[in-house]
Amino acid sequence: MASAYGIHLGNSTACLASFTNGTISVIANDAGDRVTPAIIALNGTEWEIGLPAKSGQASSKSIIKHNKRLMNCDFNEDDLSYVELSSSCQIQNDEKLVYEFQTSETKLYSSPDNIATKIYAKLFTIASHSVKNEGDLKLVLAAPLHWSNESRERLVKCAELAGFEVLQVISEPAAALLAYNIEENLEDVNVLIYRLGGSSCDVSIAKVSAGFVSVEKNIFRSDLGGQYLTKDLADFIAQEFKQKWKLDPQESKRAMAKLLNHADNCKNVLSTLNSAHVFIESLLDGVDWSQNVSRARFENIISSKIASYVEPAEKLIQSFDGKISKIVLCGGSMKIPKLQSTIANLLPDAEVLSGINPDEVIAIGCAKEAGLLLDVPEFSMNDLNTEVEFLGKDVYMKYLDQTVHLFKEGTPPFAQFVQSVEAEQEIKDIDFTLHTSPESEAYATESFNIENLKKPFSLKATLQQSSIKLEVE
Amino acid sequence: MAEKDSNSNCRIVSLAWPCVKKKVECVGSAFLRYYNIKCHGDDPSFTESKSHEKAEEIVFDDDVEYLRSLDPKEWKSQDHYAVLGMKELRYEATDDDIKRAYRQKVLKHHPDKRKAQGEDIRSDDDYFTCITKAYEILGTPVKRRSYDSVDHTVDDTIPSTAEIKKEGFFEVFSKHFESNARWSEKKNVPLLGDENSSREQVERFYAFWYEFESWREFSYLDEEEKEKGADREERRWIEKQNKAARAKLKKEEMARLRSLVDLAYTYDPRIQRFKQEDKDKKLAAKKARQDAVQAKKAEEERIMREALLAKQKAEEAERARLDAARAEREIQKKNLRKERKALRDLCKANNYYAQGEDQTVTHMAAVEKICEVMKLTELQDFMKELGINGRIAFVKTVQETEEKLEAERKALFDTKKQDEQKIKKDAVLRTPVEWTVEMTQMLIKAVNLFPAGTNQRWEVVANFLNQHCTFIDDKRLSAKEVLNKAKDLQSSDFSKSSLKKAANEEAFDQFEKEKKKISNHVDNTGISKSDKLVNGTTTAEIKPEEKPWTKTEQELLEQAIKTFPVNTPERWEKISDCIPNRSKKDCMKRYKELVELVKAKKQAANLSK
Repeated sequence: MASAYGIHLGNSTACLASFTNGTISVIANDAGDRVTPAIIALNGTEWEIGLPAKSGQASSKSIIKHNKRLMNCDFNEDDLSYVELSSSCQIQNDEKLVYEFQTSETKLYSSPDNIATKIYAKLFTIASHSVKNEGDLKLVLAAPLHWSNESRERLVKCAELAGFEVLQVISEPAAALLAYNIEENLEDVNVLIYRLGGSSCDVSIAKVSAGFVSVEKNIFRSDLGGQYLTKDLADFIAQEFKQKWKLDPQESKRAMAKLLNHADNCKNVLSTLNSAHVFIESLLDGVDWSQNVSRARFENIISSKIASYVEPAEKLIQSFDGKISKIVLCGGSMKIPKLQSTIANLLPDAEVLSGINPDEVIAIGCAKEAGLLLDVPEFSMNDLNTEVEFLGKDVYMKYLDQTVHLFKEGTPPFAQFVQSVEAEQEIKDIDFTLHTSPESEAYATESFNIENLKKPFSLKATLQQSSIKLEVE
Repeated sequence: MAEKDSNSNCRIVSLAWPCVKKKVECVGSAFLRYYNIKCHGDDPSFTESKSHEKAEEIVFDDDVEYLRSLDPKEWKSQDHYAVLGMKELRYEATDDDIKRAYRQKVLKHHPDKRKAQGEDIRSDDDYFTCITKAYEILGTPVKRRSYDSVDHTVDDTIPSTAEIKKEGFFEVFSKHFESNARWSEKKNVPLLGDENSSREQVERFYAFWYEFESWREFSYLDEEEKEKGADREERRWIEKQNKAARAKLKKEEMARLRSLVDLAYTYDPRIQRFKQEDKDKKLAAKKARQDAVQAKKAEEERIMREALLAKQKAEEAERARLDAARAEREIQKKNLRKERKALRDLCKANNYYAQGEDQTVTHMAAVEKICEVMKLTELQDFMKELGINGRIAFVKTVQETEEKLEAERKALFDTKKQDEQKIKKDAVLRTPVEWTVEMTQMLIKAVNLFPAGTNQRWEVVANFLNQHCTFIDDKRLSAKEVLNKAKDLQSSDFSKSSLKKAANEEAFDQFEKEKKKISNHVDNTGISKSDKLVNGTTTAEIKPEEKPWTKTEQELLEQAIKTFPVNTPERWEKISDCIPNRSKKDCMKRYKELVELVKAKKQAANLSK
């Protein structure tokens, strides 16, 4: 059976999910991790992507992080300085943005597109190792809601350069909804999608009706992210270290980088376990450091920040009038139990969906869309969203002595209604009348000659664009 | 409000209110369905989901008789679906269905359970093994697929022509296509549709089925199992055998499908209709074209006829007008004559207003002149005046007439002169331009400058020449003249020119003559001259008298003079014939020179004596 893939490439991590034979699974990378850090480093002449880049030489001159920010065509100065600060290489922004690498002999230049292509290529090798049959690897990508068409085109180009065949680019909130099959709900629901990644935060409210997803509201914040929490934890450990050894690791860049790396691991462990052990060999001046951090301690450290993390969600919920009955959490930082519970407490009545690892949700959603697209021939859609005409008013139908609610307001086009009609054998003609409400006057009457039909016959109504097709058979 | 589709069972009711437009994320199955219908115009009926209908619980039947009749060793030939009690469901059963069915069977037929009910169990070949085997096959997707591929209930036949005729195309083929659709790798297999399917749908249907990708495989029919092989070699051999057998079967299967689709295509009444429509359309287009041509022809004829008619009418009118004019002229002439006569009579009566005898004669002549010059109305006026003023008026008029005549004569003379001048000028212009060498060279230059293919080449060349050559008078070259000259030049191209021919012949003659005389003398001038001829440019300029006589020529001349004595008729012609490149005149001249020379020598000798 054909398979298809979904990739969510974030600022800090990338995740690859596959759809094969109707099942969706996340594909682990060569290190056995289900998410790959979106970090790339130039080590000598060799590019390191993912884990080796993350845990490699902390003092290396050429590490790029948060490349995705610069993939957006309309990035601002803040983004640029942010990336420059977190990456350890020069960025030139003359007419085109390029990274500048200092190697032993020469200077190398590389563009953000190039870096993104390398990350995709890494994922491509992971994906191609997981399947036996060759051929194009079909892919669905996720892009942030606020990205322009142009930026998405860039993303697609990078993925295609890496070897994938890109079927579609979907928005991140929509992908999150797909992952939890929320769009298959029969009744209308409003969903809060809270995504907290490594360095950015997206809060959206989406309305799902009759399988169609529309994003009603959205807030994007680039000043919130999991790495600020990591920084707090690292600062805390540094304080402890300083207290004991009277040595300040914050004075050494290398020590801080090491500390941050370990703090990140510690944070990840604390998401699942109640306590984590931090052991850092030769943190500073050859002194090792060992410490236990409990989850309570961690929550205490980040408690001051939590309010600011919840704030965008609160603001959005307040501005939205309507009942929100589901919450979808996604993004790596939503693994932190404290954050999960705080968000859940915002809407006590809503159901929190957290069955899937939050950092894999979007990739899984993409994979699902890719699976659905396998059955759709010649699909070409460049936009994240499009306009669809929904039915403006309710439609009721009366026939004989019965009244049926044919289509309700907001029904999507091409919806069908099939009803078996019991009719007396001797009836020759039957009238169907259409009303806007059960009491109001009929505005259309159709009579069918049913003499030659088998009884009971079935009536099929199909909603078309600004018309209804009635069929009897 | 409603579009009446009179006969069919389908009505379309348009809605009175506008739709609500909403931005929707392009994701999810509902959206994709919408997209599919919108972009491909699919009939929504076959994409409808079956999930709602399947809600009811499936009851698995329990055929104990069948189960008991099974032989566990012959598991390969058993009907696994029937074993699990899903005879009807077959390939439509979900994994979940199979699992549930299996559990039910286990609960009922497990040997322990039956033992507890007091049934006699054979330990070695109990039919329960068949149930586990069936689940083993159907519960594993790969094995289930291989079993489904060879499910014996599948109708693999291709309908015969008779069948199609008997049952009707759609009944027969929709059944076949539906049963084959299950092998498709892709979902949403387009179905045959019916008589009223749109052309796009039909085309899509055939496009899909001609490119049908089937997942059907025939590993279930393997003769021997790979695992049975004793060693690696044997296993490998078995696998090879199996692979070949499967490939063969797969090929047959593809051929079968292909022939099915082909058959459907040939018998499809819709395709035939479309083809007919296409043909009709083509014919109609052709006919329309022909009609248009005919109409045009008719129109042209009509216009021509009308033009003819109009011309005839115009001619008639012209003739009538001419007749009228003639009649008018006649009348006028008559009147004029009458008037003239009256004038003459009047003058005669008044004795020509003369005062003397000779005046009478002049006056008589004047009267005649007046009669000639004056028109009818003028004559009438003159008569009236004569009647009133008599002689004074007469004299005055005579004078006026004289002046008038004089002026006329002068004017006539002037125009004649002008005409003459004009004719002269024209003649000058019309005479062909003399092509000077300079002009010819300029022409060659121009022709090279504007190669063939230049737009309006000869006009351009002519212009060029007009601009760059000096002309004595204001004659200018026309394109035609230039072209003619160029053609002339081309035909006189030295490679084909008669000049060259002549030169060649001459050279040959010379060569022969020289040979005869066994002369070692090299005729430099001859060669150079022939060279010049070959170059072909300056031949016209060479004047014979300028050329000195060579020794050979001199010898030839002497010889000729000796051979042709003085009394030979046309002596000099003959002599000149003997010497190439020299005319009769040249020869005579040379002879005279020679005679002079001889005389001079004799005189000198006499003097010295």
